[in-house]
Amino acid sequence: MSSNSRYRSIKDLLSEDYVVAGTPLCSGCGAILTLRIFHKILGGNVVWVNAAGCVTLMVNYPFTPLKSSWMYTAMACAPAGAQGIRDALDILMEKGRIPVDQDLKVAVITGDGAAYDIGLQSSSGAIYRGLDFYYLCYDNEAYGNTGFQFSSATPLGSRTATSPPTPLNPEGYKKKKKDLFEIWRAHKPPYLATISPSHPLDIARKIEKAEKYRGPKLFIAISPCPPGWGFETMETVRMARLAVETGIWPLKEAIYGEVKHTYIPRKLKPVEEYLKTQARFRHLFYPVKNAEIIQTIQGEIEEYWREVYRRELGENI
Amino acid sequence: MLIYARFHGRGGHGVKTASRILGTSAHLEGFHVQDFPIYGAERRGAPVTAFTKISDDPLKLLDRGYIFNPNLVLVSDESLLSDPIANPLSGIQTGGTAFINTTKNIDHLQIKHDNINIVVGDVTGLSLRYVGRVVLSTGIGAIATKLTGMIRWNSLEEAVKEELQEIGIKGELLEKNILLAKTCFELVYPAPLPPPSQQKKYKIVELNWTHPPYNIPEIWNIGNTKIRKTGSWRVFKPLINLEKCTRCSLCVIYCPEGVIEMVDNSLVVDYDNCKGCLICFNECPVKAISYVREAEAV
Repeated sequence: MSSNSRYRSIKDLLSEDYVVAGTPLCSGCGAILTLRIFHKILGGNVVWVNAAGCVTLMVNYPFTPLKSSWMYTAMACAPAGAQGIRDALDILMEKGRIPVDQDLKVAVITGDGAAYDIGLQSSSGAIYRGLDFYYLCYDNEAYGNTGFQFSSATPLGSRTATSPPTPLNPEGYKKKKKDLFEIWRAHKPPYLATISPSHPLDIARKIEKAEKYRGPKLFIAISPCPPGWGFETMETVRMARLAVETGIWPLKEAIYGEVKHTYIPRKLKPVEEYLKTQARFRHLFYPVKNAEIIQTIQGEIEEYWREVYRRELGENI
Repeated sequence: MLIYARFHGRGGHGVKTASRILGTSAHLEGFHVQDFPIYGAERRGAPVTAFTKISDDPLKLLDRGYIFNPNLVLVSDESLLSDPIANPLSGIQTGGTAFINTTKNIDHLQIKHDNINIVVGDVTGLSLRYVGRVVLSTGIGAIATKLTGMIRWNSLEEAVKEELQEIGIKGELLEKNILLAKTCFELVYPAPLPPPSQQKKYKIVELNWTHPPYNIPEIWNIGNTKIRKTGSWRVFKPLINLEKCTRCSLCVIYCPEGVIEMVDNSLVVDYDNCKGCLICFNECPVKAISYVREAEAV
């Protein structure tokens, strides 16, 4: 991590909050926590474009927790909405109708349903056009707002409302998680990163770095969901940290497509530690342990990191 | 015989399941039943309402829709009594019964309604003792079943098994819930439930007058959710021991609501809005944060 960062310790993050309390979101929500840290670093001059999802509910007319502007769009078209706002701001500034110092940063916030499934084409279009915007995807690995149905971000083995473990299908969700990072990376955007609310300094440094670039600046955040994943609300941050330390959620960035990991765990924690604390994976342990699925998940993580160690550290393990 | 039961609670505590447990046990006892919940766009912790209608005569259950004139009300969180949106006792039938989940004595509840029977009990405490978590579905469902005075334990046990298995609870956890149901079933006595008047009031709740800044839409307002006071969602209250605290400020960063603030090298918690998720308790590296049940907090 760059040593010349403005953010050296947690105390450097105690700046003004732009998301205040009192939202109707669940207690212990990982998405609002990510947004709060993200917004702190981004500053107050932001207009958020929000596709339908859990976080949409934070703004419940006439109430808003945001000290910045907010626009709501349908699930498929948040980046298209961002394009409209960006263009309008550019034209107004060019014509001198608003002063240049009143420029706003345009940021998109969507859940994994909009980013991985329904809005994939519009974000691809916006990245392709080189739209100057931020994209924050809070990934809770299912359609949490409607009752936790699977999305293409759902990992192997997860129980969701539409992939319950049954005698015929004991492992729950059968498909693997879509690799949105690689899909977006194929567009070679100026800045792309994965973040976790358990690592706030990492978030701050990544946004600081992204701010230097003009064009799409994309962030995918893991956001643990207490009711959907099935853990106590106090565990949200620990769950995000476990995801990073078991290696299932790598923290990395890609500048014009060049990947670099910002946190390389020297020794991976066994993924079991992460899985067995969540009710959505409970059927893998109870009543009988499904060692095969757990081994598949662990094997994939190890394979991923072996490649990372080889490429970034020049080690063969 | 007609029972209109209305359940008031907070999302995630099991109000919907409680109404289903009452409905299913009455159905197993041979009655005709409807049960259904309503909840808005809001999430875990926000007020939720569920309804159960029970009758021995199917012709009395021809109507559909919300219950405005219940003869049995179950309030799973006493903080709802003062919530103008939930307003749990609105429209309750004269002579009807209300159960309130609280650790307080009846005299300390300050309920304005006359001519209704109030029953109190600490279901949250029992659920923590028997199940280890705040799950009110079984407890409130069992109490509602007993208050009707016409459903036997066997039907309730069957209903608890059926409803909890449907949401994926089995094994040891199910056994604990049945024990909780048994305890709650024995906690109260059948209550008087005069038949509800058929007079219709097309309002879910009566909205009281509120101070203008609360109810006038103002689109230029920013950061105004603070006035909604989500602090009433809390079951546990975090307490910071400032002598043990090293001011590392991790809790300030990790609080999803941003209610912990560093002021003059001291930590201030906005308890009006703290939802009680306890992430601060879990993340404190020196264990300077503890928690107590809201009911026991001073």
